[in-house]
Amino acid sequence: MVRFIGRRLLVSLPVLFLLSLLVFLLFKLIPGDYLSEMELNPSVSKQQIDDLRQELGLDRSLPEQYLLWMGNLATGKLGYSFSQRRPAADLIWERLRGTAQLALGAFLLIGLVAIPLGVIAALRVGSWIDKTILWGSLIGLSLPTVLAAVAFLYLAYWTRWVPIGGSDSFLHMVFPTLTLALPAASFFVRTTRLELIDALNQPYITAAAAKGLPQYRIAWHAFRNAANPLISLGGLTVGGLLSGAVIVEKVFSWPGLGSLTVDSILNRDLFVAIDCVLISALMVILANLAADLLMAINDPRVRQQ
Amino acid sequence: MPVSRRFLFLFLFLSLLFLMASCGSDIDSSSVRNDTNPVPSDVRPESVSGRFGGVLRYPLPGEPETFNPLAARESRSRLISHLTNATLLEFDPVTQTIQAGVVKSYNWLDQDQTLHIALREGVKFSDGVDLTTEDVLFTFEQIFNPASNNVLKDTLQIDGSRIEVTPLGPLEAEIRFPKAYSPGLYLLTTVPLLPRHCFEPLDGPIEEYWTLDTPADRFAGLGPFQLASHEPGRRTTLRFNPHYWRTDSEGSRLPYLDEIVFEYIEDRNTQILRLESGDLDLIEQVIRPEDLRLLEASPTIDTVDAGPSANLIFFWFNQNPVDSADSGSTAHQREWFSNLKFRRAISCLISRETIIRNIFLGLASEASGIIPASNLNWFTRELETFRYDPERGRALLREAGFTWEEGGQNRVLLDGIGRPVEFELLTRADEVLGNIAAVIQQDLAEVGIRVSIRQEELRAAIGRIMGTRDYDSALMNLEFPTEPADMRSVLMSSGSMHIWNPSQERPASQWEGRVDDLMRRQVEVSDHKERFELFREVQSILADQVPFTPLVNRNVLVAKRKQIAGLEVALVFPYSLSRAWQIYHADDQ
Repeated sequence: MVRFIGRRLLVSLPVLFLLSLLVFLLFKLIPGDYLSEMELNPSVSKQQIDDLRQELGLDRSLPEQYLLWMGNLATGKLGYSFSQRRPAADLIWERLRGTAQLALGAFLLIGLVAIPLGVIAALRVGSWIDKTILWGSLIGLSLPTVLAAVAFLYLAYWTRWVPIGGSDSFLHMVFPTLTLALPAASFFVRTTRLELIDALNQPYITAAAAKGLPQYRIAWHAFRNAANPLISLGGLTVGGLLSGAVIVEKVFSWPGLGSLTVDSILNRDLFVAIDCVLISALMVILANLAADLLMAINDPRVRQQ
Repeated sequence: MPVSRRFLFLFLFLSLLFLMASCGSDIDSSSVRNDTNPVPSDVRPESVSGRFGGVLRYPLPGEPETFNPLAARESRSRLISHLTNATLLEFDPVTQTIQAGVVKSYNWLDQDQTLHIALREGVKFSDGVDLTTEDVLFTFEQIFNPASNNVLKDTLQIDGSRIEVTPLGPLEAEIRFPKAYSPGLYLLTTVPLLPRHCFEPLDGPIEEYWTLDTPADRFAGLGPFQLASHEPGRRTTLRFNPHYWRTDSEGSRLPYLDEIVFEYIEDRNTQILRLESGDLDLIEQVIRPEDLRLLEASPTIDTVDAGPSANLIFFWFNQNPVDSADSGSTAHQREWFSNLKFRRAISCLISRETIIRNIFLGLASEASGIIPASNLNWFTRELETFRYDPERGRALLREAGFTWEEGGQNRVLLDGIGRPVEFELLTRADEVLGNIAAVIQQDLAEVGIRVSIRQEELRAAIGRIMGTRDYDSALMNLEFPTEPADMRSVLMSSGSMHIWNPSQERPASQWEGRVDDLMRRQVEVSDHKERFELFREVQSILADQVPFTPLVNRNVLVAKRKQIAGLEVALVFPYSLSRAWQIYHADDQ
């Protein structure tokens, strides 16, 4: 198992390297840099901008900047935030927690609400319950995240059930988590339903029913067999959650990695931007690794493979 | 229990525990004023009377970059710096006059070159340490430290020479400018006084200190508030400075508010909803005119349209020499752009009224020049400008040799040798600027000029304007300084911000040479009236030559909860928080 994890992590290193290179090249393609905005500030002289450009290393060539960043990385540092004049790692760590909270909340909703709804729909195929759940999930899938976010914001305003934006208490999490989870949860409802219906139609389930096993035991057996695609989907969902977090964090004033990524790219805070992209990529890689491990725990056939 | 279920339960339990534990961080908002220190001598009470206590919640669209006043370049950092620090002399944004502030008196020993200052006795930093001339000296030493890249290093140098400070005692000092310099007093209103004791022993340039992760107890300032806490990505809390030197009409030490909490909220809808629900007390600047109109109907909110700000929206043509590197426009386009009658005509063809009425819902003001009507010191009313007058615009185009080709319903404007007049308008990706660009496009289409709009992200647009200079015309908004001396980089032909044709080695035109001369002279004469006349001539030349077309000034819009009182909204930065020390809650809510 340890060798498997080690090998997977090792394989991901070239991906991260190529990604970092790509971000650097993209930054070079876009005109302007972190100091460009100051060029339209009458109170800041050209000399001062030139001095700052030199101080921040922005006057160096792109390969030089890249090597500098790689050198920092080799010593365990993630570079420096131009805007906040402090280590990028500190900034990212502060924000990573916020995004992790939302993502975990979204996974809890998927696990505790979406999957059970999918199971209920599968066990009541063709009933009004099934149809209601299907329609609901279709709406959840179709609704753009930004629209859902604004709708929840107004819901918070009209009902006063939870605070409007911010991140101080557990209640502040409710609507951002719901917004973030909505598309993924809807997808999980539909996938769970489909996979379970498929599993319930297998001969071993018919045999189990003929033996007189209670329905919940039958459903559990079927669910364990249907779970692998769901676990795999869970790993892939992390990428979607990170993209959705950008909008959710902006609308709900939630301090997370998504909004930091966007801000650092728009501000051309080079090292913070590249770190954010790489950490997001690493999270996706780790989530997929975790999904593979969970599949191995759930299914002896996968373990043997 | 099977491994998978145990794992699942453990995962759910740990996740819940993490979510519950990591949310929630209460701020200790208790604040007791145990004021036993005597008020500094010679302080004249302010004519204000309010109630002590309460918190003002104010949104910022993002975190400040620093808490260091000498590194504060963007408005969020400057706002917090304004509230937590005092400058050597004060510029009152409301009256736009220079005040003594923490200085008891200041006198010129010789004309505009050597200033004698005496600090008020008993003025203390927020940590209780006395302000002395050693702090003044320390501040200037840091500003002029060769290793430092602080915000004032260049602006405080006159012709490359620095200002010298000589302490004459703990409360008296001489400040010597390298030469007679009429905006000298104004320059001193930009110098924040730093507490020497907080920085020593100093290791490195000053801007490396007082960053966002510096503990709050390492800060001290002379402003009405002091830093209490900073929660990254969430908020910054300022608490009243117990040693602030100003007093109200009853002799009680200001400020009235216990705290100002800056909540970081980027989304404008969220800001409006939180104001309406009582989570915020005041919003400004970012308010869209349509939001202000909606908020006017709210029974719990007061709205203020204070008048035109210094934020000017303007349009200009690229007049860089056509052979300059990466020149994007063709030579004939640059010929049109450098044609005075063409520029004047374009100015006459853009309807400011449409922009004000349709885009700002009446909450903006027509601009006549670089100086807005809100600038009480330098605004010139009687400028001869090329305002909206389509007939005059057409006549000017005819005079310049342009003609019209009748092409069905679409008349096409042709230049002297029959080429259709068309150009690209560059602006940044912003809803308001995009709408204004559309008005310009429509207005110019009326006379057969085809304008294509190009919207780019701010830094990319600036890179094109200032770097590659690969554009035809541009539409931008800028907040211009209130003091003419600070506009030299814009107005002088050698200036890096002389946007239509920056950093000229020699003035490209006679009128630019004349402006250079006037701008040099206006910092040398000491008589304000004479300075005003010199700068009035600069404004006249700009109005006549139209190197850029001023369109509108956004109005300063404020929405506040009704119980917030004592607010005096300035038309220049920092607007409603200019006199934060006199803001109070009118009731206990």
